[in-house]
Amino acid sequence: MLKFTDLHVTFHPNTINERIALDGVSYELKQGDFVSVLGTNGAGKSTLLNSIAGTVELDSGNILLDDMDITWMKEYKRAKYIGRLFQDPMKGTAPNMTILENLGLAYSRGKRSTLSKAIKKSDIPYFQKQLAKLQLGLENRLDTKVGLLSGGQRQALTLLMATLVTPKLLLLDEHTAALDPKTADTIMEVTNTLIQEEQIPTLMITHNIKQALQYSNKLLIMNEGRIVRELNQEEKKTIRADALLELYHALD
Amino acid sequence: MALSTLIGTLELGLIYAIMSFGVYISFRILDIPDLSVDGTFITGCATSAIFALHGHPFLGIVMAFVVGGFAGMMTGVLQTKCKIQPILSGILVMSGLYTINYKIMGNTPNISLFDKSTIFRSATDLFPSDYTILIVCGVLAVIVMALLYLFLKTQMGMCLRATGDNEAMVRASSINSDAMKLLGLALANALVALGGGVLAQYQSFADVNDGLGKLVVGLASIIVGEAFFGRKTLFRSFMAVVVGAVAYRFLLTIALQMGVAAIDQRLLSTILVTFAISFPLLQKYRRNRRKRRC
Repeated sequence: MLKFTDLHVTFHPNTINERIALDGVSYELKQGDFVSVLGTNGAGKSTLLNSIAGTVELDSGNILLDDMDITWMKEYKRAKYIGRLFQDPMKGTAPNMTILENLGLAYSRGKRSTLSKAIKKSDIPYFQKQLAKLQLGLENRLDTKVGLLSGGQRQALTLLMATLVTPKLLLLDEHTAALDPKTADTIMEVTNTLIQEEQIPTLMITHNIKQALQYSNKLLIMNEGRIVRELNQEEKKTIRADALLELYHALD
Repeated sequence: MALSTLIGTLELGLIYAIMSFGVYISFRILDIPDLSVDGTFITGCATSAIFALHGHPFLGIVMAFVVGGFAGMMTGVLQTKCKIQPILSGILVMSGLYTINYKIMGNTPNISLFDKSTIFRSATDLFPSDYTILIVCGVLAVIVMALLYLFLKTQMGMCLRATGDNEAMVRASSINSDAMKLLGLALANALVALGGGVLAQYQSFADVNDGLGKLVVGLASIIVGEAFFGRKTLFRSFMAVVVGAVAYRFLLTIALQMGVAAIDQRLLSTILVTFAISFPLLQKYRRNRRKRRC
């Protein structure tokens, strides 16, 4: 599914601020894998996700998505196959456009933008059905501007938009960190449902160890630009949160 | 106000509405402060005038749109490919266009179309009436408005709107945001130049120095219109642009009749735009002061 080999990224090379963000990271995600990435701030987690998404350019390495080499593909081109969620709920939706328009935009992902009508009436029932899954009542507010929704509602909508056209890969960058605990739980539940339904390979950055243990089937721990520990399904089952926390602290 | 003045003001208002739609695209939809407008407006005037001078007034209008679009694309290239800040890109293009406009006009600073054929003279020859010119202006404005409205409802149009709204999201949705900006700026300046082209034939005159302040006029129109219609829906925004452009012309005409000199117009426009934009802030400031006092 997703396979990346020996990724290297250095910020501000050959200056006093030189920082090695990724120092030879390799891993392979299989169909249905839901992998959590843990690690302290500055461990290289976000750089890893950003380099897969194409917002950060690699120095060297290789990224294969479904046997397609996307290493040097432009960000907007690979976005055709990759769904993405950010920590900031404001980042994933267009605030001055309605819920319906946002969904219409997400639904045309990967298709060429043409002069045909943006919103087809025949698509609306499908959008409503999908919105109903979020259980926020958004299916009755199609003409509401997204800027009027709460952070949680916007994040839920972004999640739906990222998976409306089933992506080959889903990247979640602490997508519940800016939400209150209850909303964070709801969003995490919805995320899991959507991922399981379509068996979407997912890479999730989180600082929430409980979340990582509960939902993902594999764990990666990163430190100083490397993957320092991989836990597969069996190991993950046996490890408890406090043991994992100890593992975390041992890194410093 | 005499009837002829009334009709004349209305005609000018509708022509400036076409230009204001261009300003609306860059400022409101793309959310890019595009200063090339002051240059592309004259590019439109010059192109249309030179074609009319040589006997092709209709082709002149079309070419004004096309050449304006190219100029807008240049602004877009400077912004997206050369990574020059939007404001500077606009200034660079505006400044460079001064020379190009001069060259388009055949190395003269102005062209008179006195006794030449223009779209307006052709129309009055066909349907002689006091209202013919007004109707031509109205039809042109409505065509521009309708086509633009339909365009913004297409997939491409929606991508354009989203680019101005949230660029990161647009790229993450597999849309080439640079291409969208290029398209938007080309369309915006094409419309501005179209307005200029129609104006040149309307007043039978084009002058290379006439461009300064057109952007402010466009902005003022949009802001005046939004005071009436708001911008809740696309349709209301569109009405705001047309009504704003016409209302702004009437404000100017009234000011002129009250004895304000033509040279003072620009300063008045500047004050109007500044005041209109900062009005909500002023209100907030006053409210806060009242709160602090008690």
